[in-house]
Order: sequence, then structure tokens, then C-alpha cells
Amino acid sequence: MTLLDVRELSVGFSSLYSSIKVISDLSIHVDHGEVFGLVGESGCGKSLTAYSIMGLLPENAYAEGAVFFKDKNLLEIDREELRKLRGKDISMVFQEPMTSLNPVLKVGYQIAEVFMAHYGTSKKEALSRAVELMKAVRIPSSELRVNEYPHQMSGGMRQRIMIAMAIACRPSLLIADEPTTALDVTIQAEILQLIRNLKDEDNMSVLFITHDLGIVSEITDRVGVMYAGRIVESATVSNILNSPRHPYTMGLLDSLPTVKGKPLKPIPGNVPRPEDLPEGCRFSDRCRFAMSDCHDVEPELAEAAPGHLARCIRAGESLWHS
Amino acid sequence: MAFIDVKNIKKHFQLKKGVRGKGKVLKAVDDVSFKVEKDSVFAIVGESGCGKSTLARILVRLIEPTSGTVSFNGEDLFNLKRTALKKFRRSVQIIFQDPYASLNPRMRVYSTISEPMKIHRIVPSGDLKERVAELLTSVGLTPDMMDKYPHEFSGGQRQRICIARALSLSPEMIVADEPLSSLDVSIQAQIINLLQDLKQKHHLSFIFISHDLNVVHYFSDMVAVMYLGRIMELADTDELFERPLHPYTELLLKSAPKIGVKNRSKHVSNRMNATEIPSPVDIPDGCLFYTRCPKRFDACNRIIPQLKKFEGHSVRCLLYS
Ligand SMILES: Nc1ncnc2c1ncn2[C@@H]1O[C@H](COP(=O)(O)OP(=O)(O)OP(=O)(O)O)[C@@H](O)[C@H]1O
Ligand SMILES: Nc1ncnc2c1ncn2[C@@H]1O[C@H](COP(=O)(O)OP(=O)(O)OP(=O)(O)O)[C@@H](O)[C@H]1O
Ligand SMILES: [Mg+2]
Ligand SMILES: [Mg+2]
Repeated sequence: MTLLDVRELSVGFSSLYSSIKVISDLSIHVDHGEVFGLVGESGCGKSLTAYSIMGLLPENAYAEGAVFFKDKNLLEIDREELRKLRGKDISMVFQEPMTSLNPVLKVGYQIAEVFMAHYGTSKKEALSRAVELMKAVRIPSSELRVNEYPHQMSGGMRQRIMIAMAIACRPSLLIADEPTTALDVTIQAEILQLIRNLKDEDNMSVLFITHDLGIVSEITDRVGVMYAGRIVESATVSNILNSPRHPYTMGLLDSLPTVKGKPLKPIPGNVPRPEDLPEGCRFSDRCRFAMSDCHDVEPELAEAAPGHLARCIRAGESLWHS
Repeated sequence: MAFIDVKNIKKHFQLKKGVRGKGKVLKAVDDVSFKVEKDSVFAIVGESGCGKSTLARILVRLIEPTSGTVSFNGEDLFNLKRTALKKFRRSVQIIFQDPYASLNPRMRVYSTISEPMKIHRIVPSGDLKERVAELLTSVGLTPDMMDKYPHEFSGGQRQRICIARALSLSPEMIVADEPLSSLDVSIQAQIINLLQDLKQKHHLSFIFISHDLNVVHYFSDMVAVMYLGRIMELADTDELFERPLHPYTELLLKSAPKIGVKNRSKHVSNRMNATEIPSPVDIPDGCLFYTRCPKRFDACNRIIPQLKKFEGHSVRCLLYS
């Protein structure tokens, strides 16, 4: 059953002089108890997609389309109702911890506040729960460090404080935007296991944004690949990683470091700016499989194989090598 | 003479007195020594909170160590005179772990990147725009972005602004603290190629802190593995990845995520075998890794192992003495 249903979401920025669309007609859904992975080029719109769901877009941004959570359209419900959902039913781990932690409040208090705000828990009780959560995210000497300020913690500890805040109320939807970038692989594994346990115990759903394809492989069920503000491919995780249908996805897999001493193979060229997208397919000017038709009309997101969607006119051919 | 020579560096933080009396000491970095040669990439890996960023800040003279010395080209870093310090500030750059916090929110990208070049007068002011455009392009951004403010960018774009700023002064060394953590693998590859190119053509050296072991393996020449403020193993990169000696190094390398591997998390959680989490506030007696070590034996929680040479590695473990 679907918990989150994003339908034709477009997001843009308007100013006095111009209006720029950075996400175009994005549709994704996340089922109950499912981990949906969102990957894609830096700057393609992943975090803004997350902000749209949370109702946290910047002032000068607009959003069109619909974001259904259960039966409510989050783009239309009133602020008060959204505020009650946020942090409780839907919560988010932000990409940059310092954007969401308050530098002048103790970390333990910031976690405790979540309980106090949503359940009216007493401060003492909330603080002791904060210590429990800090232990769960593997912060050593939690009883002592609950009294520290964010600047006294390491980058990865701050990231874990934010994870603790996000899972405090055991949300039904967790949006995790690059949640483990500051964690070493052993603590990272423990945090992923913690998320997996919540998924198994509470049937929690996760929208997991990451650049790490190993993590994608490990924790996600289905994956959406974004390029220049659009979903260009979506399928089960094994289909995405083993038999990608979109040349952008293939290019990502080819960029991974392999043999030492051999130059790496990034996708040639740069992402187009939203202001000057190429004619036709948005990836056409960087695509090694492009044909003349690719420069004329932008392809639809179509089924290339059962349950496997790709926005490429050559998705039916076998272009992928391995 | 080594380019950078780090000797017995300690950084201890005095924690505020708790309710129950005495304030504790947090040993963030504890007796760390290593050398970095010119034109090389020295990687530092290790558990979150083990002291990497603290060490990085010491190496660029942003904070002072509790004790120990760092020499840069043979000169004591913490006793540099004015002109020598100015030269150091120009030739050694840092890329911070947290890009958002290290960019001035009220400064356009153009000023952020050009300001250091103005201060050090290394580019005629008429050429600044062109140089900024060139730097932005080299990290996969576009020249028109120089007129924007930090909040108008994505996380990975901000990270690349910081890389461009670090490159602007054509430094001799960059201390890079997780510089690629927010980048997709294609842009990551593009930037590693760029850094490798600068290393070869302009003899740029790096201290490279990263949790991404594939990137460390690919990009670095030497690796130091840290745990609770100390170096547990130090070796040539290929050698370390092929033949890790310290049980912690072994555990770390085995724990990396891999495409096609589904149950890593479960295995790692089991392997960590830790009910108690070791803390830099309460350093265990004996070996620091004792509580989690799969190969521990009796003596390990009594005797503190020293960093010793063993078959080309330096390793802090009683198994090798
Ligand atoms: N406040 C803003 N004003 C104008 N443009 C913005 C603003 N915030 C983001 N953008 C632009 O919108 C695009 C999408 O940004 P977003 O943060 O969603 O990218 P992302 O996919 O999360 O990238 P990354 O992987 O680098 O974090 C980017 O090109 C960015 O420059
Ligand atoms: N100003 C400070 N006051 C008190 N403790 C501090 C301070 N700065 C750092 N610490 C502590 O020192 C230890 C090492 O922190 P550091 O930031 O160097 O870790 P790190 O290895 O960079 O970790 P990460 O991989 O998570 O970024 C941590 O326990 C941290 O909380
Ligand atoms: Mg982002
Ligand atoms: Mg750090």
C-alpha cells in the first residue's frame, strides 16, 4: 500500500526578472515498509524534492502538483496541520547537520524537545529518552555528552544527533538526505541496521537519498534515478544496478573507481543549467548513444521492461555491457 | 627532511564540570606522529569521532595542540614569524568537512573565491573574474554561478565551491576533510582526476581524510588508520589494503558497503561485538581496541601496545611484537 505519493511535482524559483524550474513533473511513490532510493547528479533536485514533502521549501520557491501522504495533499494542508505531522509522522535527516541543529542549544535538549513538543513529555523524562537515543546511534559516553553543544561534537556525531531527532517519534515516513556521509563504514553499518530494524518493527517507510551505490544496493528496495530535475529511470534496485536502461545510470556505474593508476571515467561534459536545457532529451548532449532523434523530442518515462521505467528512446536495446 | 613532520601531537579538551563534580578530559588526539613527503597523498581513515578533523585543524594552525610539534618544510609551524606565516597561509589550504558552515552566507561566490587571491595578490585584479570562472568550471560548476550566494546551491555544489576556493591560491598542500562526501560518483571521478592532475603537474600534496575506502585506495599513497585518537596502523596504501595487520584495520576494510552485498549491516553489527562503546573520555586500560577486538587475548587489557615496525607497516598491536 502506498504511503507517500508524489504526483507530477514541479518546483521552481521565481524572482522579479525570471522564473526557473528546477524539478519537472516528478512522480514517485513509497509504499508502507519500503525503502525507496533517490540518486542522481549533484544539483539535480533531490534535496528540493525532500523539502517539498516536508513543506520546507525556501521562501522564493514555488511547488506545483501534489504530494499525498496517506490521504492528505501536503502541498495544500494548512501550516498548523503540517507542523504537527512534521517531526512526528514524517521526519527528515538533513544533508547538512549544521543547517538544522541549533548551535546555542545542548544536543540532548534538542533531541528532548522533539518529545516535549509532540507528546508534552516532561523535560526530565525527555532528557533521559534523549540519552537512550544517543546510545542507539552509538555516541560514546552519552550520559556525559548529552550536555554538549553541537560544536563540541565531530561531524559524524552531529549527523547522528540529527538521526536521533528524526527517529525519536518513530515516524511512519523517514526522509534521509545523505544521512551517513560523515560516518565511517562500521558506524554507518550500525545506523543502517537501526533504520532497517525500525522498518521491520514499525513498518516505517524511507525515502533514502544517497550517492553511495553500495548503500543503495544494501538498503533500498526500489530506486529512482534523477537527472536535471527529472526522473530518468526507476525500477527495483537489482534492475537499476545490474541492468540499467538509461545511459545516465550506466555512466554513473562506469564512474566508480576500479583499478588504481587508471584514470577514472566520469560522464563527459557538465550538467546543463536549468536555464538552458538541450533540445530533446536532457541528457542527449552528454550521451554516447545519442542519435539524431534524441536531439529533437524529449522521451517519455516509459516501460522498458516489466516494472522498469526509463526515459530513453533506446531503452529497449541492450546497450549495457556487463 | 620531510615536507610535513608531525611529532607526538596531543589535543585534549577539558570538559565542563558535570553535576557530579569533576570535569573530565577528552583525549581527541593522543600522541600522533607521522611524516608526509612532497607530491604525495597521505590518507587518514578511522571511526567517526576518532580525532581526524581535530588533527586537520592543528595541521593548518587553526588550533594549537596541547603538546607536540608540527614542522612544515623544516620550520616549526607554531613558531612561524609574520612573513613565514603568511607564506604558510598561502601554501597550505584546508577544505572543511562541513561546507555550509565554512562559507560566508552574505558573500557571493565570486568574493568567496577571489578574496584570498586579492589578499595574496597572486592574480592581477583585471584577471580575477576570468580565474574564478576557470576554477568554477574545473569543479563542474558554471561561471554564471559566481553571482550567487551559498544558500542558492545544493549541498554538493557548495562542497565544490569550497574545493575551488582551496585551489585558487595554487597551494603546495591541501588538507582535505571529507572533500567529496556530497558528490555523485561521476563528479567525484571528475574531481579526483583533476586533483591527480594537479598533483602531477604542480606537485600538490594532500592530507586526505575520508570514509570512502574505495576512494582512499584509489587516490592515496600512504594511509594512517586512527582509533580513539591514536594511530593503530600506518602503511603504504596498496600494502595496507592487501594485507591489513591490525584487527581494527581488518574490520574496517571488511565493513565497506559493496554493490551486490545485502547483509553487510547485520554482519558488521555482530562483528563489532560491543555492548559498551569506547569513549575518548574514558580511555580503556591496555589496548584501545580491546573491547571490540575479535583477536584479543589476556594481556591485551593490561599492556598498552606501542606503534611498532612490522614488515613495512607500523602497527599498534601485541600480535606483532
Ligand atoms: N534557494 C535556492 N535558490 C535558487 N536555486 C536553488 C536554491 N536551492 C537550490 N537551488 C538550485 O536547485 C537545484 C537543485 O538543488 P538540490 O539541493 O535539490 O540538489 P541535490 O540534488 O540535492 O544536489 P546535491 O546532491 O548536490 O545535494 C540546484 O541546481 C540548486 O542550485
Ligand atoms: N571544541 C571541542 N570541545 C570538546 N570536544 C571536542 C571539541 N572538538 C572536538 N571534540 C571531540 O573530539 C573528538 C574528535 O573529534 P573530531 O571532530 O576530530 O573527530 P573526527 O575523526 O573528525 O570524526 P568524524 O569522522 O565524525 O568527523 C570527538 O569526541 C569530539 O566530540
Ligand atoms: Mg542535496
Ligand atoms: Mg571530522
